[in-house]
Amino acid sequence: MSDREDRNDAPVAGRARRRFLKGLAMAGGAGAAHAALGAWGGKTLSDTFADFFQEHYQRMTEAEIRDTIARIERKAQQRYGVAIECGNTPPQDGVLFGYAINVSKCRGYRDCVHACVRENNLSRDTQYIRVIEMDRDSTDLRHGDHYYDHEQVPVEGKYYLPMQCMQCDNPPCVKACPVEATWMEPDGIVVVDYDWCIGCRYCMTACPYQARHFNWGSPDLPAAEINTRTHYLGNRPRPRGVVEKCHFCVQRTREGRMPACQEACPTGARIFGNLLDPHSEIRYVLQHKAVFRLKEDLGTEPKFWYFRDE
Amino acid sequence: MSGLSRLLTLLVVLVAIPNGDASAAEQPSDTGAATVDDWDWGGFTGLDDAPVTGRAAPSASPPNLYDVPRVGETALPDFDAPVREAYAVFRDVPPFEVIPSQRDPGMHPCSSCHQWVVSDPQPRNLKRPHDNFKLEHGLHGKGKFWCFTCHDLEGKGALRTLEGEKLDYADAYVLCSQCHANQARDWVYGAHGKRVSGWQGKRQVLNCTACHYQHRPAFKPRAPESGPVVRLGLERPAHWVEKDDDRAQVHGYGAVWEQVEDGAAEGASLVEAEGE
Repeated sequence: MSDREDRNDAPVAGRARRRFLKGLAMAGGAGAAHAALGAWGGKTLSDTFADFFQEHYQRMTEAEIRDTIARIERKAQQRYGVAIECGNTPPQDGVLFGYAINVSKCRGYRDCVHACVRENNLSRDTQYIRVIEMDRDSTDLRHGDHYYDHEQVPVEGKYYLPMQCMQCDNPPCVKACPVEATWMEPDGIVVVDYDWCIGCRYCMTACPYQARHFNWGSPDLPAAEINTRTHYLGNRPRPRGVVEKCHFCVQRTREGRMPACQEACPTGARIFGNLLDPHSEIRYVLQHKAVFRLKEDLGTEPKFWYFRDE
Repeated sequence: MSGLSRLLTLLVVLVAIPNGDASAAEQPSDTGAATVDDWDWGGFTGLDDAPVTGRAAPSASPPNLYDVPRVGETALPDFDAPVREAYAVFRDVPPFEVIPSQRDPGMHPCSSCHQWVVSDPQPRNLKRPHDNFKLEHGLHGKGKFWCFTCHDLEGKGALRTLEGEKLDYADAYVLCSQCHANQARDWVYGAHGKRVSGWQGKRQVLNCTACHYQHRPAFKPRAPESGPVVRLGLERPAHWVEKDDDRAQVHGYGAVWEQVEDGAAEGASLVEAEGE
């Protein structure tokens, strides 16, 4: 018990309720604030209450979101000793994000993978991006290998296909969620409210691209490497027991910056932009290149295209 | 028409430039015991950092060019330098800017030496201090490209197009686009190359030389970063097991909950929380 008490994850609803009731019982009537300190895992009683009664992101008022964000920052400070800055930048009007990858250019270095891990405060055993080593002249994903570990890449006779969340326009994961903890934002990014997720992992089975990842344990996140520029729907430190996924670096892209994977790519294989802007690079690619999407027959309408140099 | 004429010009240039002397290529290069003094300085006695204009007073002793940093793999983008407005050579391209590349600190400006040292336009095996240029540019152009295909013979602070127009180094993409027309088109429209400083606002892109080292433009193979860990309960990849890789031994095989009961993973609590 003691081990678990020490870990102070934000609540998955059920566990939080248990911990809350247990704490209440232990605290008894008198001197609740002092006696409770252990039971709240260092949090104040009011924060614990507020965490428990925290609303769904889309139903919170602005003031409630402000309070919640302040609480998130306090929790990060208490848990990691790091002062993070949790943003809540709204989507921009007239913006729909899309991504395209030039598979002729990808050389399988996995620079994007690790840029993503650092940018998004991922548990060090989780990677949003999977670079799949494919046989040349084949698009059969069943024969792809994402554990490749060569001395040098690219290997003769192979090509490399990076996969991450496709930000589907018809996302099956959203339909699968029983509590509506995941949804598509107006700028096309499918996001997760980590505090509303109950950890049932239905979305993971619904996703045909294996883009969603579950925190089986407390995220293995070195405090010294935490990226302090975070977003409520993006890369804020996640609790144990919730599902997370690529969110096109919402903390960056809503401010006009590029996603970390695009910035890290040494070959320029990644093209990111606004699908609604007729002069954007992504629109040029869609109009002039032979693009394809993965598992198009499923009708998930990914906003993530692949193309090759002619 | 202009495309055709450029192609013809290119062909003429390729034919006109003689192949490097094969026997010269066989000669062992004078590395090893050779010192700075072996180099024919042609009356040059010093290197001065003063601007190109005017002849600076030579310093007392010749500089040691072998201490300067060697030419890098690529010319890294210089984000401090003023950006350059790109030449819009294609239709319907919104204006965009090019990030200039850093100069090789040891070799620029060329005229700091070549205001004294006369250039030899004859294609040959390069000796020091230019022996670090291994020109491996072009599958078809091996042995046909020579320094002055791209560099200006007279004023070596500049590049030179095939039609004889002088170009600043920051506009190197114009030079590349003479042959690489498809890449140039894609680069201008954004399907090739890399946009920096955000997807919004005025487009700023890297110059060709930021990713491709101009004297050997192909990317070098290198080791990949580490891949994903295998999720609990999933089989190890066969090549880890074959290689007796540590990662194949970290966890045993089996289902997630078996791992949890063994205490092998921290993910225990969700499953067993009910028990308490």
